[in-house]
Amino acid sequence: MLFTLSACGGGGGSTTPTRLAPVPAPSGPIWQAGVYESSEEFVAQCVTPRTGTDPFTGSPFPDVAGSALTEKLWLRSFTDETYLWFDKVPDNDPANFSIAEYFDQLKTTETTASGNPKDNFHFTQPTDEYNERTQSGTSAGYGISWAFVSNSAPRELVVRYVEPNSPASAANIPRGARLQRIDGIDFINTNNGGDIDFINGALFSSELGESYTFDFVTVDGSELSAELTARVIELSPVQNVKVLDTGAGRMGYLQFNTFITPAQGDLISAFQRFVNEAATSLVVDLRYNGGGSLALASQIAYMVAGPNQTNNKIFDSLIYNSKRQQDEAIPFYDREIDYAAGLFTDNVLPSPEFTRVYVLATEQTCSASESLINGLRGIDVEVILIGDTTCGKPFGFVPEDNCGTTYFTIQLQGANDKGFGEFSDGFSPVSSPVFDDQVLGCTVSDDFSNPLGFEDEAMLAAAIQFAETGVCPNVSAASESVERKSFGNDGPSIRSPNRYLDSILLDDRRLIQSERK
Amino acid sequence: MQQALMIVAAVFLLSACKSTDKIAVDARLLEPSEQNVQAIQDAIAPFFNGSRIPLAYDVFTRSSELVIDQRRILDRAGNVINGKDITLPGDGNVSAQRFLLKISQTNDMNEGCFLVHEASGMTINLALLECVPAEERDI
Repeated sequence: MLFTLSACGGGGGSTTPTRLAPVPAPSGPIWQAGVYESSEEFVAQCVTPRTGTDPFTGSPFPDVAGSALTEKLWLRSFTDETYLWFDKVPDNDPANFSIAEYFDQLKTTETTASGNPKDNFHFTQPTDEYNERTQSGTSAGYGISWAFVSNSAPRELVVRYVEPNSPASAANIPRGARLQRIDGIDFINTNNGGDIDFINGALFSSELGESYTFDFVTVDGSELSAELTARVIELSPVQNVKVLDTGAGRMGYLQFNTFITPAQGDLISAFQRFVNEAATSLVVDLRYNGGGSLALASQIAYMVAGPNQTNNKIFDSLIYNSKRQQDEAIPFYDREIDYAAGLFTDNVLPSPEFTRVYVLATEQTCSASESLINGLRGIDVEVILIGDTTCGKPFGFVPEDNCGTTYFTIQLQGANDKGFGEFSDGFSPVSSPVFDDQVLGCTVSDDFSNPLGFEDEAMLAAAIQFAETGVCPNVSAASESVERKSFGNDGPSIRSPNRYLDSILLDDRRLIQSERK
Repeated sequence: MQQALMIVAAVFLLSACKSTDKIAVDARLLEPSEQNVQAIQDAIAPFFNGSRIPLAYDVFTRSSELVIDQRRILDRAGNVINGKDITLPGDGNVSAQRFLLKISQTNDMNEGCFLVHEASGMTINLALLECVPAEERDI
């Protein structure tokens, strides 16, 4: 009897069973708002699986057949697990986006105190490009570091510096030289599409061995013509090391262009020289230094400050989102590092134990450069900032591949020994600092009329003057940084406000654009 | 006669000692050239699944060490993208491969040069390249 009642739905008078339509089981993964499965559930399930052996690892590719949805669900879960502001990411239906569009919106839309987007650093790269190998510490090109002042006619491209042992240095191209023509084509004024393509090819071609004739006008107005052939160049990021006798004592000077680990030897030699020559303060010229190895930044900070000021202190705490159990504290590394082996050696780094450092900076001063500034301020080494506001990137990421695309999304923020790391708007030089991202110093424009490391160069001269008198040089209100001009043009800009999204990773490397585009 | 035998024996012993006095010292290439670059690219390609690794024109002319690592990714203005690289010593996350250029010497006479892949200890003969003993490396 009991069996009969149950089978008939509990009674109710009817003896005819109702036939319900069966609920189909899901045939695959689905998006359900607010519900996040582990990214492992979707990893390597690809629209177009890679096959064969990964030339980078020597192992078979892990990919299997999947769908756009599995790739998007992986991105969604990966973001939820690792993104620094995972709880500020909208959970939109992935069906409304392509894979690339879906990743683009997997980030916070919050802004900084100045109104800029908080997350300016969100991009992708084909994994086979990301994994490319090359000789460490090298770069392909002519050996010219350019200042992109204006990309629309009248265009302006200025030499910031040249690499030693490069085609540009062999041709004696000086700082401040302005590009006029390439192979006779008017670089400044042309709007011909074919000419623009040619110029882009000449400036940014990855084809080694190609030669072009570059015509410049130098600072003194003279013309200079040089045939340059692109090749792989061993970079020399440490340049113009010297000790200056000033009214404020002996000041060490060091131009440092990028935090690449092969620079370690030259950095150690530079600081040993500062010790030997009894420098009492330091000018470190980071105006073109966009960052790099954080370990190397820690070593430099140690060499600046020495053992007594850094003992048991944190150089940079790497703070991840709340889903990660442990943050990571990087101390001030006091020993030489065998970077190729990933090991410390027994060699203790030299240090003059500076208590005051003058940092020459521009908006190009970024990431590990800012970590160096922040790390030193965290242990009360006095940092005087000369130049312009830095780029504002206290963030980092752990790039991750899925289905042949490597994703860069912000996963960590650095903080110094005092716990400060909120400098998304950059460090600004001011006469009376109020906020923690304001630094005592002077606003000074980059000076292309003098070589770097010369005492007459405006930014170095300002550092010396400030050291001697405590007063910044007079700067007229109309004075404007050459670098800043690039944002003020009416025509197409060579750089968007987000220069990371405006990178070679996302487009065809075209820097110079015609007016009609 | 006895003295002559002693001299012969001494010379024999000396040469016997010297014949085993073969050592390998750090080396550098005498001159930069495209041929040198290509020869080294060919030599190291098997360690990278056959990939041709870009090398500086003057590779091994100023140092006996060559490190191959991931290419730095730059934006259009030439600035590094990953400006806060958190690869730290001791975390086991080493992607670099190091090669050392050596020259063998017997009785202080330079012989052929060769490449050593540090991780595997494998050597690659580069006898056709012109190399010389490197000077002490500054640290």
